[in-house]
Amino acid sequence: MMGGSRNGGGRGLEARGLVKRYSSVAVVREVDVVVRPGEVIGYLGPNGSGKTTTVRMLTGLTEPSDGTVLHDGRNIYNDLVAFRRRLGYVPEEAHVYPFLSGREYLELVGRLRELPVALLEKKIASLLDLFGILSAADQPISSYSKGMKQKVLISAALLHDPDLLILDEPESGLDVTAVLVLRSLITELARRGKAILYSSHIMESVERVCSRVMVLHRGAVVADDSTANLRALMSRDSLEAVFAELVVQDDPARTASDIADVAAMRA
Amino acid sequence: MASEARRLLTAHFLRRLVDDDLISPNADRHESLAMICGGLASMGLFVSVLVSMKYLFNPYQTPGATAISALFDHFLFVSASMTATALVTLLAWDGLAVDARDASVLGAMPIRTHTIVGAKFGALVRFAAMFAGALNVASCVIAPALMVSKLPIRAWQLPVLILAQAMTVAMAAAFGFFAVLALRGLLHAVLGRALFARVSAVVQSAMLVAVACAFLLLPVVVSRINRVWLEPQSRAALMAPPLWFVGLQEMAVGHIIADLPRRPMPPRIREAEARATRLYGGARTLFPDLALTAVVKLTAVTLSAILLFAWNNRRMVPPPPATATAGWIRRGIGAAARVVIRQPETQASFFFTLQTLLRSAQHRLTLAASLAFGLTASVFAIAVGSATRAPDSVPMTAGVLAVQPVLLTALLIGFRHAVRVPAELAANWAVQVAWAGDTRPHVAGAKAAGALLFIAGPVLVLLPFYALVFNLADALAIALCGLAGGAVILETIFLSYRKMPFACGYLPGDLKTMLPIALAGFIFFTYQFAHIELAALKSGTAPTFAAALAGTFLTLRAVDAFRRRTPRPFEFDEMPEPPTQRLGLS
Repeated sequence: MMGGSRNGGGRGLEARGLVKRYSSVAVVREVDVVVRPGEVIGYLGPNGSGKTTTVRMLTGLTEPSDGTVLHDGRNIYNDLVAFRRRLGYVPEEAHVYPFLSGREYLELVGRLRELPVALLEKKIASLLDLFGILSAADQPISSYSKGMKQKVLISAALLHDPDLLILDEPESGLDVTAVLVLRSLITELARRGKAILYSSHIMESVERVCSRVMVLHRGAVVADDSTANLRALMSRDSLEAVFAELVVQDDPARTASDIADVAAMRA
Repeated sequence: MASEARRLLTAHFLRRLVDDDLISPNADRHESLAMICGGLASMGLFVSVLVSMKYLFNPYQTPGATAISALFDHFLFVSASMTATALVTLLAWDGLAVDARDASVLGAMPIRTHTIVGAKFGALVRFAAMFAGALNVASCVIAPALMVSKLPIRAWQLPVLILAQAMTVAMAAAFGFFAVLALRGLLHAVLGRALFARVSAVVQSAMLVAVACAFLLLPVVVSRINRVWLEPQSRAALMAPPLWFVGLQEMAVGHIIADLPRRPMPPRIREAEARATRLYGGARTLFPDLALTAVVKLTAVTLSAILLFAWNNRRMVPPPPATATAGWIRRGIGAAARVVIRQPETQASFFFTLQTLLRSAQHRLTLAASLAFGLTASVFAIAVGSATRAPDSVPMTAGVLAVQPVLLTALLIGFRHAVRVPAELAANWAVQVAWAGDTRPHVAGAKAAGALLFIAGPVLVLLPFYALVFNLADALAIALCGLAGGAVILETIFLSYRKMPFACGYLPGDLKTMLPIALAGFIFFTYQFAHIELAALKSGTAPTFAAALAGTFLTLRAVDAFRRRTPRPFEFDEMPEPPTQRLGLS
């Protein structure tokens, strides 16, 4: 087990100069990420900006072409397993074993994480119940809706009470109630000392739960500050407007009008 | 517009049927397809040349004898075409209807349902035709050409023979394809969507085992039927579907060879030729009935398949709601396993192995193929054992005893292969993220599940068989040897396994080198095992033999533990070599 006490005693996650190249094309360029215990960092960016690639590098699923990722001051690639023991991860795409039931999937993950059986069963039942999918716990995941799969993935990420949570668009597919629960959950987990990286497209969520926001555009960080500072700095009254200012180069209304024109084209 | 949509959808469905990117992130569909079709074509070429040897090296090839030999050859080719096509169709079982994904994606499109269903049907026909073509192309050209190379036929008659052969094997392939499609459609129509979804996997696996056994036993079965079907009063011809098509072919072109003028020949040959001519003449009376049966049955099966396909796919409906798994069974097995297996990671691997093997279509198919191979080899073992049995000996023979090691070895080798194939490639990240850095508990869990399913299970199934053939005491001794022997095999085949079971990308090994070695090792091991077991049973030292096997097992475990004392690094998603390197071009 790595050093650093659980739930807030460590230095959190620090990534310095992260670069990822595919066939010499850099999709992520010199990205620095710092997530301290008790912080919720919003990670924003348009499609194809390199958000998910960065997230995969931070979880150790993709090795960076350059740069380092430190957790509690130690390079995660020196001991990936120890790092992952303390990591909870919700991926962007809800890829799970379709032939397992929700309960079986959580049992698999819990056992892999060496949780005691009695505790695991109690946690699984409680999480599934709190997320409102206990009645479907024994049905195959292949029959689940996207939101139900997402709830299973969030449950799996929380099973082992991790210090660090990396959530890649966790609200994807969730209904309004579940999104509200998720937002409160993230705030509560941060209050309990967890370091949380929250990648999302939904500005409202990010604005409500994140203490700081990073904006990624074309593989590089173009802003990194608190939401209040960003709004003040750019003289905008909402994060959405700040985001539009930073990464949206064309006028959205004009683009929308052009799209509608194209859709209306006749031979 | 509709025809363009149909063409596009047909191409789309065909791609989906041959798509194999489910087990490796870098799979090349075209390469895999080329290998399968190349393998089938090579097999067809090999068999064609092999069966044609008798014509090439016959100094006195005569029309009557050739007509009879050709009859038997055609039976082989037609049977191979029919069973191989049925086998390929069974492999694509889940894709034999418009599935849930098609319904959800295409159901919202402004395309008529019958266009989608027609395109799906067209893709299925093309899919089956592609494999049947690859298998039969060599036999259609080479076999007739070599067969008549020394006979005085006219120039135009060879293309006619080739065409007739092509038509017959194509019709046989169509029969195999439509029979599977019709059976699936019938089950679907009778049981309904929900019930069919529950039994579908079991039916597919059972049929796959049966057809694969038939395919592997083809030379034996064809040879046995050939001995009886021309005899008067024999009903074999009408019972064996391939013979219907043989009758059709003979009725159409059989006379080209059989009615050739006889040249002067030595008396012994003349006598044999006269016998063959009489035999063929007798068979000729069967051909019209067989031909009629072939046409009627093929038409009936084709129409049934089409109607049932259209009926079952008449509405693009979403899949039925999935049913909950039986909680009490799961809890029962879980509680029992937790008593035996203490480590959480080993438990995780044990349960995940059972769940994957029983629920994943890909893994079930691997195991069904292993079981089919094992059953076929068992039949050969019994046949060889019966042939070599001394007349005064007890019925206990090495052949009968070999059934258990043959089955166990085949199933365990299939299991070893299945463990390398990912349960769901896209979901491997979950295991990677939660992995504690040591594969040993995972391999141990997988082996425990393998021992339960593929050692204890078959030994228990075979126990009544041996008790019936021999006696209960011998059967128990054989079961004891089977358990210990199975454990030795399991430990041996996992000695070099280093990855995470079911959670790594799959890279095929060097089959060209490994397959012959594995086959030779398989035959040598199983027969030696059976011979030693036979000697031990006859001398009353079976417990000693079982104890020796248990000792070997413990030694192997110690060796394995020593070799795994430090975890070795491995890649979850190992990249294959570039095609140029695999083909030795660089």
